[in-house]
Amino acid sequence: MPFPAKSPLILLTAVIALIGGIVAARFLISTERVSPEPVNATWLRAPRPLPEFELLSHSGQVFNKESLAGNWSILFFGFTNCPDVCPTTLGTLNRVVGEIVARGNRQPRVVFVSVDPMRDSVEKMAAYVPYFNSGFIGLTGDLADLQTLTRELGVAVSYSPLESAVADGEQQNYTVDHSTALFLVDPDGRLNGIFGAPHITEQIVDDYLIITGQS
Amino acid sequence: MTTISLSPASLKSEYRRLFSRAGAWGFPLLLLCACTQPEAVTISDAWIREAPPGAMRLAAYLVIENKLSSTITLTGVSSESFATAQIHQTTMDDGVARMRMIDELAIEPGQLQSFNPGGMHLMLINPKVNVVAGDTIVLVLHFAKQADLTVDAQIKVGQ
Repeated sequence: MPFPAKSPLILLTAVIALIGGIVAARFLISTERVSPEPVNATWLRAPRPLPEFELLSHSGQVFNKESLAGNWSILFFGFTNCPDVCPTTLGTLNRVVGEIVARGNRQPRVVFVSVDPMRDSVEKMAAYVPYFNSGFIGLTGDLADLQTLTRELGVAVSYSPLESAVADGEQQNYTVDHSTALFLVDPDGRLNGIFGAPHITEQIVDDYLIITGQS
Repeated sequence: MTTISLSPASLKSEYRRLFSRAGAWGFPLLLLCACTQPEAVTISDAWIREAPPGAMRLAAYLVIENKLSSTITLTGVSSESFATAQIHQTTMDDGVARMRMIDELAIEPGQLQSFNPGGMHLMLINPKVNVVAGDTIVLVLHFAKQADLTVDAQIKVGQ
């Protein structure tokens, strides 16, 4: 052997390096995965229960807090006389639920709540909401009941007159300023997450699946 | 199947016939039109979002390009298919969408003014016809000190 005196030292160094390597590998290649965080949505780690409320679905049935049981729900507030933001968002939500189902998950319940119950009758909601997706639910009802929900969720709603009169003599010519956020409610009727604008289909789907613990 | 073939001689006589029909002023006028074409206001990509049955408010979107050397002012829009139409703008302020009517909109020389979902749109109020995807609806844009411009807007399912 060329270096008999040094060989035990080399062997010891090699053993230490090997042990060090194994320890480092165990740290680096951990089998425990860190749970992902939503990228764009706000995730309420302590879910907030919704207040008791009672509205009417577009099929004329009572819809209250208990109606939210059994499935995840995405709530969106708008009105049928809104020609721009509301149809755009409902179209996006149609693609969102399509993508969630395409990825092998259950279709969430989508609830479109009218912030204009004075003009949005049950009949109007019945004609409007299913156009975007036959599974979507439209809600309307008394303004006081609506406000119970909007106050708790922090949905800003204000009514502004439109400047010019409409030719058909419609008396109530106003528009409604409203929050465009989407509210994610769990099957126990608790607010879990908020998706702010702009609403991008892929981002909503990714964050929805993270918050709901699906893949 | 019918095949039409024109020999060079018959083409020549065809041209002659066309020019004689256009008359003495036709050709110079045609040249003038060709020269002034870039100096114009153009409307493109006009579409209307198909709305659910019974919807009384719809939105139209388009692009106006001012190729003139002076500012133009859009003062309104009308359509025989709707009771009223207005220029509207949606703004987002702290997560709240606000829609307001705009009386007039100045478009600078060389400016491309887009009307897109979530921004500017033409609000079409109380339809007199069924607004169904695949059909077209005529919109007339009104300008200050400028002739009206007519555009065919395609009705589409919103994206």
